[in-house]
Amino acid sequence: MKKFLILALLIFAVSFHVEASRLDSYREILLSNSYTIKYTNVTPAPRVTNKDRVELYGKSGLAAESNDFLTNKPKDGVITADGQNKYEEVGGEVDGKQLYMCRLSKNGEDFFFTKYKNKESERKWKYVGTRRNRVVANDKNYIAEILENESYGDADMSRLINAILPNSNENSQQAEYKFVAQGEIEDEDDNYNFYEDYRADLDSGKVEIVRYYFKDNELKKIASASLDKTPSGEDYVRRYIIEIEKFSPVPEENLLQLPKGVKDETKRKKSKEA
Amino acid sequence: MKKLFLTMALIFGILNFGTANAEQPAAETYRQIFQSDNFYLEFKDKWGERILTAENGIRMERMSYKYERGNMVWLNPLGAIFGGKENKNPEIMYKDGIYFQFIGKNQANYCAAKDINSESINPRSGWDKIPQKLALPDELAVFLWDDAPFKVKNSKIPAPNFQESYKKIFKVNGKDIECECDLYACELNGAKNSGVLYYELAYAAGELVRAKRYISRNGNEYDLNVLEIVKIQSETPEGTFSVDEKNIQCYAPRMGDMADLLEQSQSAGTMQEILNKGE
Repeated sequence: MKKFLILALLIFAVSFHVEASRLDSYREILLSNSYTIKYTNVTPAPRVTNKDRVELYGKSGLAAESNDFLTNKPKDGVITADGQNKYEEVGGEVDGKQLYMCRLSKNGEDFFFTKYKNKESERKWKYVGTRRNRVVANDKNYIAEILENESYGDADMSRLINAILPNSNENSQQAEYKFVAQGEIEDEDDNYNFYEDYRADLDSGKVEIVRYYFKDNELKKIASASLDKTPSGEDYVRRYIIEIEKFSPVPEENLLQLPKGVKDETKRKKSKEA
Repeated sequence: MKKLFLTMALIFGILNFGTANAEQPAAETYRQIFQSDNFYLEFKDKWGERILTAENGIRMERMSYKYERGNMVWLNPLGAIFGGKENKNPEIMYKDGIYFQFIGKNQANYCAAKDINSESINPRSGWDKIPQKLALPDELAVFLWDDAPFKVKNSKIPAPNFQESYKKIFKVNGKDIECECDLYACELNGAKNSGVLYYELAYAAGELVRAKRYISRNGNEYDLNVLEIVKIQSETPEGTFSVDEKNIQCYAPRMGDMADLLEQSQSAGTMQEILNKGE
C-alpha cells in the first residue's frame, strides 16, 4: 500500500503542473490519506424527489441531501482519516437540536449512526445506531466507491474534493478537472487573497468550474458553478459554496473509533465461506 | 511413442480448452426462460427467501409464505392446514402499466408506471424502489441484462462477459456437492479506482443452484450477495399467488395535494375498477 502511494505521488509530481500550485500541498495531504477536514456546505442540495432515482448501487457520499431534516439547511461536516480508518459526519442545527449523520469506516466495515444533542447546552452527545448506543457493521458499498470515487462527507463536498485529485485510472472515461487560471483577489473581510480555477467538461454538455480560494497558502473556500441542460433543453445552473474551517494532515484519532458507550453488536461469522 | 504422446496431449489440451471455454448448456435454457418473460423464480439470500413470478406481462413478488410461517406453525396448526385457502397476495404487483403495493389483506397502494418518477410524489412512500424489486436479481443478470422497465440501468456498469468454467465444491441443501461453475466478468472504471465485477453461477446436475456476485479490487475479493436458487421454471405453479381483484381497496399515490398534506388517504376504488380505468 505504501509503495503504491509513493509511486502515485511520484507519477503525480512528474505529470502534474509544471508550476507549483497552492493546491499541490492539499493534493498531497489527500493522497497520503491522513487528514482532518472541517467544512460548512453553505448551499445545500434541494430535496431529493423520485426524479433523482437512486441508481442500483447507491451513492458513495453520505446521503445528507435525502435526509428531510437537513434539507435546505447549511450543513457542517467533519472528515478525518489515518490511512486505514475514516470517519465522516454531516449535519447541523435542526429546530434547535444538533443532529449529525455519521459513518465510521474501520477494518473494511462501515458503521452508520446518528449523534444528537437536544440542546446546545447539553454536555454529552447521544448516539443512535440500530438502537440507542448500539451499532452494527455494514459491508462497504464497493461499487459506489469505484464508480463514484472516495466519499468526503456529503455528495457536493465529495465531488469538489475529488476534483482536486487527478484521475489515476488510465481506463477512466470520466473527465478530469484541469487547471485554468490563478491570480490575486480582494475580499472586504480579508478572508482570502488568492484563487485557483479548475474546469471540467463532463459528459453530455455539462460543465463545472471550480474556484479554490486561499488566504496566503491556506485553503479557505471552494466555490463552484455547474451548467447542465434539462431533458427539455433548458439551462440548469447550480452553484455551490463550501467554507473550509480546517484542512490539516493530522487525523483526529478520538473520532476514528466508536464513541465511548457505543457498542458494536455485529454477529460475525467465525469462518468465511469460500 | 513420443509422437503419440504429443498428439494425445494436444487432443486432451484442445478438449480441455473446449470445455473450459463454453457455458453450461443449461445457461441457454435459463436465458430462454427469462427472456420469454414467463418465469417462476424462488431463491434465498441473506435477506430471506423470495418468490418472483412473471406471467402474461404480470409480475409479482413476495417473501415466501413458507419462510414467513417458519417455526411458528406449531402455534396454529389449523392455520397451516386451512391457511392455503386464503388469498395469497404478493407484496408487489405490476399489471397493465400499474404498480401495486399491498398494505394489508384487502388493501393496496397503486401508482401508474408513468408517474413513478414524478417529482410531486412523496419520496418517502418509496415508489422509486418498487420496479427494482420486480426486476430479475442482479446476480442473474447474465441471463437477462435488459430487464426493462423494471431494472434501473446504470450506464457505468457494462454487461458481463463469459470468462471460464471450473469445478468447485459448495454446500447445497446441507450437502457438499461438486458444482460446475461458470464465471462472467465486467470491468468497472471510475476516475480514481478500478475493479472487476464477477458473476459466478454454480450448476449441480445441470441445474443452477447458486449465483454469486463479487467484486475484485486491488487483489482483494469482496462478496456482494449470494443467491441460493430453490427453483427456476417457466411456469408458475398454480396457487402461488391468488389476487382477489374485486375486493381489494386501492389508494392513490400521494402527490402533495391537500388530502396528502392532511394525511387522509382516500380509497380510489377496487383494484378491478382501477385496472379497467387504465393508466
